[in-house]
Amino acid sequence: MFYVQLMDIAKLVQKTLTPNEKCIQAIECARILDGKRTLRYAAIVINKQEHGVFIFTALRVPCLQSSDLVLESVIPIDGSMRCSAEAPSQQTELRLSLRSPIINVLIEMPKSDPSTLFLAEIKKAKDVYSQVPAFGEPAAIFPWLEKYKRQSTDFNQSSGENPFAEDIFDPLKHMSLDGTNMHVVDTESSRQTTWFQDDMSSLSSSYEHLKPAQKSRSRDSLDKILGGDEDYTDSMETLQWSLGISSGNELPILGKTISSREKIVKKFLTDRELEFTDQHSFRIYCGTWNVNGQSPPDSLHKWMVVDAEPPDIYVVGFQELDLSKEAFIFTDSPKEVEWQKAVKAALHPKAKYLKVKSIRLVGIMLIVYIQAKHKGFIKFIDSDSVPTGIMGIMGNKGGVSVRFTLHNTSLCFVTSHLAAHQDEYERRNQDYKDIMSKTKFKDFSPPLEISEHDIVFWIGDLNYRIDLPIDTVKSYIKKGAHKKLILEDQLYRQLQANSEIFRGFEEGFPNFDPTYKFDSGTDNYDSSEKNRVPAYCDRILWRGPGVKQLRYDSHPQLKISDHKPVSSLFDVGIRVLDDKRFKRVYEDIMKKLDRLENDHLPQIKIDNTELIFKDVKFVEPQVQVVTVANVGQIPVEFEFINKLDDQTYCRPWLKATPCKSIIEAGVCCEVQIEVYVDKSTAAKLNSGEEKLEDILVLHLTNGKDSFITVSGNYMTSSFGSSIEALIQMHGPIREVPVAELIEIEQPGSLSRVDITKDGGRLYMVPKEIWKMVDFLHKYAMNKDELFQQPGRNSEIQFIRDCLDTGRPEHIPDSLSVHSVAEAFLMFLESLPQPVIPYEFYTKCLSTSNNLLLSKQLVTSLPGCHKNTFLYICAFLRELLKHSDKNGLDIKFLCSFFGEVMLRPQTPLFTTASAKEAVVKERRSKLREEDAKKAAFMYHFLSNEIEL
Amino acid sequence: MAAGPYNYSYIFKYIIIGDMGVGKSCLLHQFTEKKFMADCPHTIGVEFGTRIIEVASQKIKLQIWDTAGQERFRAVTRSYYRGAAGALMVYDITRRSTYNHLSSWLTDARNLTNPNTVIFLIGNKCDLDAQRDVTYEEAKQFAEENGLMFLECSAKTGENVEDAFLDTAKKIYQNIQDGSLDLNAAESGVQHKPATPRNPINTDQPPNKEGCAC
Repeated sequence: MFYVQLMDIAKLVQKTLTPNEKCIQAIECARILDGKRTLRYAAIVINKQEHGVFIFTALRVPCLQSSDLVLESVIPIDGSMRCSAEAPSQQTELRLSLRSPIINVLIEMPKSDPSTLFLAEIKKAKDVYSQVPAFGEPAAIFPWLEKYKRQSTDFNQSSGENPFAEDIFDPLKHMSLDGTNMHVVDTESSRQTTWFQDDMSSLSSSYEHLKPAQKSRSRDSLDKILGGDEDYTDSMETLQWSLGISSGNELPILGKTISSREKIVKKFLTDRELEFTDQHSFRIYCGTWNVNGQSPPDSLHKWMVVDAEPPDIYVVGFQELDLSKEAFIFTDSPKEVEWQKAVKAALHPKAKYLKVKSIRLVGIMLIVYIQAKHKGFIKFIDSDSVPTGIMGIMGNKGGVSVRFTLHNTSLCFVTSHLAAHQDEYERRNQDYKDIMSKTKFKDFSPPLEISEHDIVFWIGDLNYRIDLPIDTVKSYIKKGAHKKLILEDQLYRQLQANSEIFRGFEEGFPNFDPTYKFDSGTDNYDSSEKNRVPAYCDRILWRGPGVKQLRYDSHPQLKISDHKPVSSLFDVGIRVLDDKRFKRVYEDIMKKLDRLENDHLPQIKIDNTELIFKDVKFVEPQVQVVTVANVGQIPVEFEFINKLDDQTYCRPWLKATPCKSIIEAGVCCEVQIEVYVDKSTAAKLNSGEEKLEDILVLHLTNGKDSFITVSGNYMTSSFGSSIEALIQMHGPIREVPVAELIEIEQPGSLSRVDITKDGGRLYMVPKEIWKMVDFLHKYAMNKDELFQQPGRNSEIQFIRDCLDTGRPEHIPDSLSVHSVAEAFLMFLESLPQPVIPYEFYTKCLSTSNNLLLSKQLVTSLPGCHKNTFLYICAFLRELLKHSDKNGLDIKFLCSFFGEVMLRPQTPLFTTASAKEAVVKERRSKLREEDAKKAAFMYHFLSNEIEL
Repeated sequence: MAAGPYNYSYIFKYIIIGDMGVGKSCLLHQFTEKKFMADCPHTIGVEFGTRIIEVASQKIKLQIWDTAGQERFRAVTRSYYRGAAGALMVYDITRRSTYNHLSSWLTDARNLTNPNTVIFLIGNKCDLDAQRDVTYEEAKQFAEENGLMFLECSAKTGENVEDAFLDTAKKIYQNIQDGSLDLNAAESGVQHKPATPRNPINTDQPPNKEGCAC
């Protein structure tokens, strides 16, 4: 290939860009498409903080000017972009896979400093992206790339098309650029064979209920953190519910990881496992062989059939399965097919087996079979692989694992090929640690690790050596002194020392000759120049309770490799579920949780749920305090809620403060319940149409409702009584029997009054009005600010009692005129029918500009209303005569009393919720009406009207 | 994702109605806690209990609203009928008056719930057979005439309590299965996935759009 000066390409690329964009690096590479390599240039372009990878084709080579470059692909380096690289040691090329949701590009570049730099830049760009605040809102970013995307030649053809779509196995699919170091990390470079009919990967899981939550595969998945995951929301709700926490409160996002009810149940079940499981004995065969890249011999029976009885599970591990260069780029290995077939053929003839799983990482392969009869009891099959080779990333060394749950016991099988060479045992130790810590079974959330299994088998070419001179080793071998050899074995010593390496693992005594290194095809130890010391490289270890090793052998009869195969047979205690007992324990746990949930429902105590308000009087509030104690275990949120078909939580004369609050556990909250009857509510209570009775519903969020009954008696008052009724009362209202009061408050009661009857005389105007007007006439004529200065509450209440009880008969002159003036206005406003009755309201407004019509209208009013109206007008005219002293002017009185005496039945509210335009319109209408009311009044205040 | 077995597929809302003192709260307590609550105070309001049961291998969460029986609260407790999938109507076999009032309770239940609401008649305190004031036969006949399910129970001994709650759930579930209870209909009283109970009075809960996954 013709390697152009890199700087030159970068310069040429730069010329194709806009001034805002900068090419930070460009490199020559080969793009692999349909297995063919063609020359490309890859460039990293930055615009502000956003990076993109541009792939160019060249019209001619070498490129001399920017027009020689044709943009082929653009890949934004964003959150969805995946970059993975691999660098097979035997090759001089570095392979790089760049994947975005719409395009995948596989390129190859020489292993060189510029290539490393290029990779480093991509990683940096990814880091930058993840730090940009807009992270997570992809819609708004990379707009500058759009123009290039349209330009790029593969934009149309490749959008939505995966060039690997045809590949069943995409080696780079699961590789991703590790966020913490520049290693190319292989997360799942294994392949899962699919061509065996007896494959069990599609096993349906019975015992579905034991399945761990299958969530997003990656822990830091944004979806999950940002709450895109429906399932999570669900389980969250469950939990909140079970804990009585209302959703929507300020629960931290991290709260999403709180275990749900399922997890709680799972934990309880685990704790009580022994109650509902029995230990059953299972035979597990483990075999490991470093086959040195050879094809399988005719039969593996000698290695794999070690007992007359068929094992329940076969676990077969291989190392150096394929030493070819092709194996390193993870494409299909013909060797794998051969060995798979050989293993299958060598399974114990007395039983029928199904393949659970097989997984391969370059030359390391693990195959697991189980007897068909156990099919219904195996579940949650998963696998993972961890490369530990060159740079800690290559798959020539490393480990692969398969895990599953059999009945109620979790099993994990690992086969590994650790670092070689006599002195490299530290490296081997490191490999072990890496495999141990990096193996993650990602079907689980959070991913399951090797150490979390009940039982682990670890087999493979662990490569630990014997630290003795070669002659000593060989002489011990001759004598069969295996014990002496193992005492100097690097792994054995570490196991004995209880070091952190393979801590907790056990190994049987290898009562066989070291399995390494032989001249292939013979039983002779290495005769080459290297003259390697024989060693127990190939080992089988286990960890966990209930495991009994029955055999531990090597099989020197199989000579094709420089290693001898090793096998071991185990008797393993598997916890088998007893359905009946399980159901019992399960029900018991459910019951406990139900109880827990009910216990965690919000609980309160209310000290008084029956409030009686005695002798409630007009405009005189009465308050009682209700104490709500939170006697539960969690904070409660309470609120008084509306009853069916009601618009408010209580009657208008009732109020609860606060009407909504949160009470911490063990704390009390005092709620003030106030009854207050004012001008808007008095009339109905007076007439007996309504009573002081209501039920408040105190609702607990996620909990029960409590009723608080409110009742009381209302002291009828002349305030809120109708003119019609008042003129029929001779004495004060309190002396009128209730039945009569109800009678005279009935509309039209006047017409039934027998005037001729003794005492049937009617007042012209209500005597209460007369009493107040009389007072004002006597004492207020010359007083400043009349109707403008407020009165005193206590005096107003005194006036009320005075008018209602007749004691004292007249309003004492010691009272302030302003109190009487306010009481007078309040009296008029409390009238169930205003002085000008509702039905005349509209007519009044329309006649307001005409004196004659206005006069006619007043004439047509019901007698008592007409009289009251004229009486008040006369009084007001009298006030105006003293305007030089009291400062009142006709304009003020007209608009003021227009408001009081002319009221619409349904007031035009200017509610806050209404739209501005509507509010405006209503306001202007109100102003208009007010003006008309004043105009109407003016006729009667400016002239003495003779009707 | 199919609901796991520790989760539940449905929520059924129940109400318990009937005269004061017939043992509504005790029935609820017996069902949720498996205990008899002696000296149970009058319910002033609406108590709330929950339990997960299993019907046809489906986990169902029962949300049970136990209403105050006092006549003066009748107007308010009517608010709670709406959206109930099951109504347990309780009388006291030792007090005929509580039995005589059933028709009024039934009228409320019929008027305020949806046509598919399963109404289950419970004659409580069957442990007090000596003081019996209402025969099994006449109550049975009343139930049959009105198309109600019926059992005599004892909140004290626990007899038949479980069955009353479970049979109601089975019937509701059967109604879902045969399509006569439309989950999409408003106020079916059945929710297909867990949710927090809302203000029961302002029952403007959106109808369940989830449908049935069975």
